[in-house]
Amino acid sequence: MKLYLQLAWRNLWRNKRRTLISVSSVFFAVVLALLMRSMQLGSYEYMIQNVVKLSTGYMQIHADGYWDKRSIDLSFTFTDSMRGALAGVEYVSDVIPRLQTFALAASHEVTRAAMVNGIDPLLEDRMNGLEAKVIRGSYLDPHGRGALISEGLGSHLGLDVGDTLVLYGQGYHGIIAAGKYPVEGIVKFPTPEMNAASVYLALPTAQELYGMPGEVNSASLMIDHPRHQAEVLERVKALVGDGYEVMGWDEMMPDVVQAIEVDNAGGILMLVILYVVIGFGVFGTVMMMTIERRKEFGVLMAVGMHRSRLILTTLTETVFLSLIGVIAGAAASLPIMVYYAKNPIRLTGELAEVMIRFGMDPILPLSMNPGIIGAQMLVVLLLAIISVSYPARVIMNLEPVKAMRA
Amino acid sequence: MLFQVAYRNVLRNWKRSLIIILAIASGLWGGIVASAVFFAMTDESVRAALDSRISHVQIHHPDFLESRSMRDGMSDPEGMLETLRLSVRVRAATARVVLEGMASTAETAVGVTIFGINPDQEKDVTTIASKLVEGSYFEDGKEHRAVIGGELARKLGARLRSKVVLSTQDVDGNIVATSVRVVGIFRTESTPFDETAVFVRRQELEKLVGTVDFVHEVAIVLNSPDQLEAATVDLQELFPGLAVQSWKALAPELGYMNDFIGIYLEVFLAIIIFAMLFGITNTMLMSVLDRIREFGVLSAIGMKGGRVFAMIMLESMVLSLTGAVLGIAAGAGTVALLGETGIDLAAFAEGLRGYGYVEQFYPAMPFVFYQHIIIWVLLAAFSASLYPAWKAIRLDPAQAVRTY
Repeated sequence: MKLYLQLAWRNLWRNKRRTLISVSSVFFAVVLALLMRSMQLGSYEYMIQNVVKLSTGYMQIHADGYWDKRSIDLSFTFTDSMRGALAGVEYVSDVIPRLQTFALAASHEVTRAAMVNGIDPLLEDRMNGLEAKVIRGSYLDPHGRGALISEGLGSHLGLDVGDTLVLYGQGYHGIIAAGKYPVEGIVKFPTPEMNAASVYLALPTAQELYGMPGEVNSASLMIDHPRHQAEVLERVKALVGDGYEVMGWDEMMPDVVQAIEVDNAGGILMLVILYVVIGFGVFGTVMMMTIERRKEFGVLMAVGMHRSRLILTTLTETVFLSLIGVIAGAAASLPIMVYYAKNPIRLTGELAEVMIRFGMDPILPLSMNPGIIGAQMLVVLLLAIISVSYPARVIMNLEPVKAMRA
Repeated sequence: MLFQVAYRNVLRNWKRSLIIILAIASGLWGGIVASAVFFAMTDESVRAALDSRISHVQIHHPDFLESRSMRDGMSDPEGMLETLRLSVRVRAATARVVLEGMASTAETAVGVTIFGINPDQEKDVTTIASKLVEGSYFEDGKEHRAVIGGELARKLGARLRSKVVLSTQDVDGNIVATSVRVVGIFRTESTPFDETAVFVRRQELEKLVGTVDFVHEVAIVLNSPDQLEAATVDLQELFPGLAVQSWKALAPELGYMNDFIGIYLEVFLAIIIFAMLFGITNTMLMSVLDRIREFGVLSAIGMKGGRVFAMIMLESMVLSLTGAVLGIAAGAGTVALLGETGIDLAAFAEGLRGYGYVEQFYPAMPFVFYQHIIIWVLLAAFSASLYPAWKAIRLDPAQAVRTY
């Protein structure tokens, strides 16, 4: 075996220039593919991370049927023992209770429908950094009776810190919910929808407004790493038992999952096209090498080298050649990937506007998922092996005498 | 003469030529088909959004889009519509009352936008009437009827003939409510819109909030949508005190969607062509290095360096153009075929609609795109062969003949 490796290696460097040309084509293919893929996967990871943090958490516990109906009546009692039991599940880092429903938010003159979120201010801040989004006034006091409103709602209603907000809506089992709350702070969200109509109350205050002390609609779970999601989901399901639904973010937001799938399919399609072009390049190089070396093959066979060994040598050569390209390509891309994963590209202009409208900070982090590199290596090696089919056929049909004379 | 030599050289090593031609053709074929799919998906989504929701031009009170306040409206809608009807630019127009409010059933309450419309006029402007999945479009002629989005119906737990209570603020700032019966449920390409839109008759909504002939939005369909900017300017002159805006200003994300896909596809094609460029350079360079002896002989018998250079350039042009013609023909053929059958991504409908994309579309590519591709490929072929051609003339003929 060692002999073949040595032979293949020497053959490669016999014609240095040709080898370098071929290696460089693989090199560029790998760099392009890696950066394209890393950018794409990076944007998905970022999108999921965003969605998970800003809305549902990795999973949520509801009363059975809540997610479909979103009725405030489908609530459950969130006790300290339940909180303790959930927090005790391995990998769970936070348990965040919420009571959310729509109500009319009004000032003296203007009214608008708004999403009223009853939250635990400390936990919420740990989950999505709500406190940092306060632009005026102060953040919610966990036991206070104040309200935090979004910037857009404030300007629409003409309310600022210190003014009084009136909430009016439908409470538990159809009772009328109404209350007056001093505006303690204004928060600004990048998403226009959230910025237009969000109200935050401390959980006990919201429970009192809707006439449902101790009740919540959802408990979100944050976990230490996305890879543990399935495991935690199973454990939590077993823990809470009947009467509850436990849903992962992907189950709650199938539209996000599908949007990613569609985009990903598009990206893979483009990679396939790129690889077809590259594949022809590698094939062309291997073919040229074969045509030029017919004489040499003839001589080798005449002195007694077996056809299969000759094929093995050319295969080893091609794999070597591709591997050098892949490794060099990966080595060149890796620093770029690492750098832009740590320091995401900040987008500007129109593209940034689109991202903001879809609720994301306009940055483009690259993924450092090592799986990408492995996948590209496999594809390029596969291309190399397919390319070897040509010399293999030539060698199988080679007549040494004719080849040597040519 | 030179062209003939180049052409014969290409044929002389036909296997090598075939490989590079296939590389170019398949790359272009894939690139064109993929681009046509993405382009059609965006283009048709933008058009669907205009047809079902946004129209071409809208007129509001200058403060309305910012405040969304019921007070920032426009009086005399009939007069406005009359003026618009006289304009050559306008194909159809309608006036709406637009109120922020809440819809509730026994089960739950949801924030909504209530549109007070004139159903007959609305049919000429938006396609909502043809997007009904259930029920009809205010056809029974009875009062207190509403047509609502499918997602909203699901959230409210409302079905056809369900009662829904709409509450909003009246002209004095008091909260008023009315009960309506759902007679139609629609589904557009946009989930966010279907989650929040409620249509009722304009007179009923005006009666509820205590206004008469006071609307918030006039939506206009143009006779020639491609003269969007000029038409917007013309219409603005008719209504000096009001904000007349084109869809590009109203829904910038749609315009960006269009622009973005354009940039995205150009970048993608650039990458493919860059990869091709490498293929061409590699092949030509190898071909040149293999033929050093030949070039030596050629210059020894008196062929000028410039002519050798031109010959190599021509060879690579012949290769690339053959590949490009094949690739474009195959690509255009496939696109035409797909344009007939259409593409249906119903399996991904939820994800697409969440971002306002249509799930069914017919791939097509504007002609100018093909022109771009040809220019790109020629440029790539030209720059790819510069180095090999330069390499060929830099060889010393005597040395070349002797050594190789």
